Amino acid sequence: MKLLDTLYYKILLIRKFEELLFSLFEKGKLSGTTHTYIGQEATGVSLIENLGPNDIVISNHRCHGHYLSKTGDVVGLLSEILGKKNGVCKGRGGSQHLYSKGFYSNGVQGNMFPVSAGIALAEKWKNSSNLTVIFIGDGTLGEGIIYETLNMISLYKIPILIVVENNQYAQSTPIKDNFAGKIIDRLAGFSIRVEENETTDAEFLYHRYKKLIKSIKLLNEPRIDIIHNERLGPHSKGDDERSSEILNKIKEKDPITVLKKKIDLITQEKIEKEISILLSKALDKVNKMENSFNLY
Amino acid sequence: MRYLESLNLALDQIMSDNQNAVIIGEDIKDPYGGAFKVTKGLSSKYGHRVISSPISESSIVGLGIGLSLNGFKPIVEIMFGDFITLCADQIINGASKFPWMYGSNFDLPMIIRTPMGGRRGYGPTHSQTLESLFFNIPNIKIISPSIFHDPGQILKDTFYKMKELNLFIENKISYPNEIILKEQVDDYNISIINNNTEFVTLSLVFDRQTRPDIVLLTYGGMSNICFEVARDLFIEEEIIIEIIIPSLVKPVPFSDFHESIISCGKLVIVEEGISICGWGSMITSNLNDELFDSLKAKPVIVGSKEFPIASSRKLEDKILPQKSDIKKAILKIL
Ligand SMILES: Cc1ncc(C[n+]2csc(CCOP(=O)(O)OP(=O)(O)O)c2C)c(N)n1
Ligand SMILES: [Mg+2]
Repeated sequence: MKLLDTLYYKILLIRKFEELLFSLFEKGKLSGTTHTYIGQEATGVSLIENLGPNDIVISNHRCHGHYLSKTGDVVGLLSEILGKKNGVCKGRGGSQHLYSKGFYSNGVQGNMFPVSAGIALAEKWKNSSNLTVIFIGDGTLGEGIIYETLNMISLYKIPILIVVENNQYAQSTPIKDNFAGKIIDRLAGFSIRVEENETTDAEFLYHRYKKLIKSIKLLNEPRIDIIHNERLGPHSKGDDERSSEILNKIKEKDPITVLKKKIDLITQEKIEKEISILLSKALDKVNKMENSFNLY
Repeated sequence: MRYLESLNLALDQIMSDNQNAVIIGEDIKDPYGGAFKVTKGLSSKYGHRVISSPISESSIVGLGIGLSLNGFKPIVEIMFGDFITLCADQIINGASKFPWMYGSNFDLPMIIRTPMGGRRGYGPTHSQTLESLFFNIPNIKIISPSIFHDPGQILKDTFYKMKELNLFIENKISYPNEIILKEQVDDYNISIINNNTEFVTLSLVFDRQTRPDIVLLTYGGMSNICFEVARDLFIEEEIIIEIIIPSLVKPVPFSDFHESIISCGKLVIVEEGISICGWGSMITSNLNDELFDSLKAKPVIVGSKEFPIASSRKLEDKILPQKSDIKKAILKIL
């Protein structure tokens, strides 16, 4: 597949996967919670598209997009979220607590931050060329452990890529009520190189991350990358207080809308069809899974 | 050999025998060698594998977890056990959960070493015995050697057996004490009474032929105090006491002292932490039917009173369990 087609495919897969989750919620077939990546997919997809199988991705509560980008494991994730014993974490972790080789997520804000530093430090000590990437949200910058860890990452020159996904909100609270100063100014205080961009353009991000990752691997040093964007969906489910006016504005920056302008219609339709078939087959398969648990 | 030296030598050996062993802690590098000197000499020998960290308890535990997930065997030192509160999230929502909640069978080998305990006038935030905070967290082992164990050997056992997070609790006031490596001390026989459990449980008795009047179950820094009580009561009142000292605090190695309780029927449990919802409560509420039915009296738990620990040594003594409290408890159920 051509690059743009691949990016479109991966973003659309996440979007349709998560829309499917919402519809399952509505039908009462899904319990618990879920935090969708809707509107923000370009960041994770274009970054992870640049990673190799041995690179490591560490995520947070909003992890489905990162997980699918890293593993492509639709059935494993869907069955996990649907509470099946054949889920990728045997139904124990659910939406926010995912693991697969080279992928970890946890539902406690900031909890994985020092853990990712340890994982990256181990890679450094092993002289490997594997990159560790950690995603955190803007709201998570309220946790003190972030600053403890940034200090150590800088002191010990731990090669890690820290991606701050600033979607302007922490749950219900807009960033202006949560965050004093500017993110970039605050993070600049650790002698770690930091850059910021406001974009949902997957093509641009892909080429940017290609360069950035090359540079990190070459210099063996930490980097912080801030992406400003906005989530299109609710924080979790049905908990969005923003007006439709605001949401319509955000829709103009929908990464899917942005990409569609660059891909011909026939290809778009082909990809859409492919994903629709893939997801309905996956759902069928998951629905048929036998589901009795043994506690061990 | 002193308790401190035994631990220091064990760490040295672990580091020299295992290239994947790492020590992380605050102020642990030479020439200082740690607030209690347990790591003295190690940074000079093992270079980057001994990380003297910023004052970031939570983050160094997290760093250790990440290293463990990625092939290393970290030993994290928390300078005072009281500061384990700062690591609670990493321990409870991280290390203790990862292998299970990820539905995976990878190991998470890691040790957090920390000194607990009072009797030095360090005051409310530097004297506590807080391991009980983790008693009802699954997938954590808590280990604590006394001066009757070989603490360095217990640390090595912990390191070589570990598959999950281990809290290794050292007793502050034991550091300068000579450890008892003999099989006999003051006419008391010391023997290992393990019953398929991984960590050494000791039994101290005056003579093995006579059935004891009381089983005194204790661990860590209370062990020497219990020993003094047993000796005094034998001389003063001819009361025969068997002292049982597990090095494994959680999960409680019930099978190790099963026989002793069955044959004696009278149990006093002594711990330095607050006695409400502590080790004694965990043991007495989890006795199996056979053990419970064998009891001839309600077990008594001796521990700290429900106060913060005062700085004044005199006031501290009123809060921490004393020899007199243990004696009183024994005489009560005799
Ligand atoms: C320690 C902790 N506190 C609170 C929460 C509840 N919570 C879940 S997501 C969230 C908002 C996080 O905001 P941000 O980091 O900006 O990520 P976003 O949800 O916007 O992707 C909160 C408060 C949590 N999971 N963990
Ligand atoms: Mg946010």
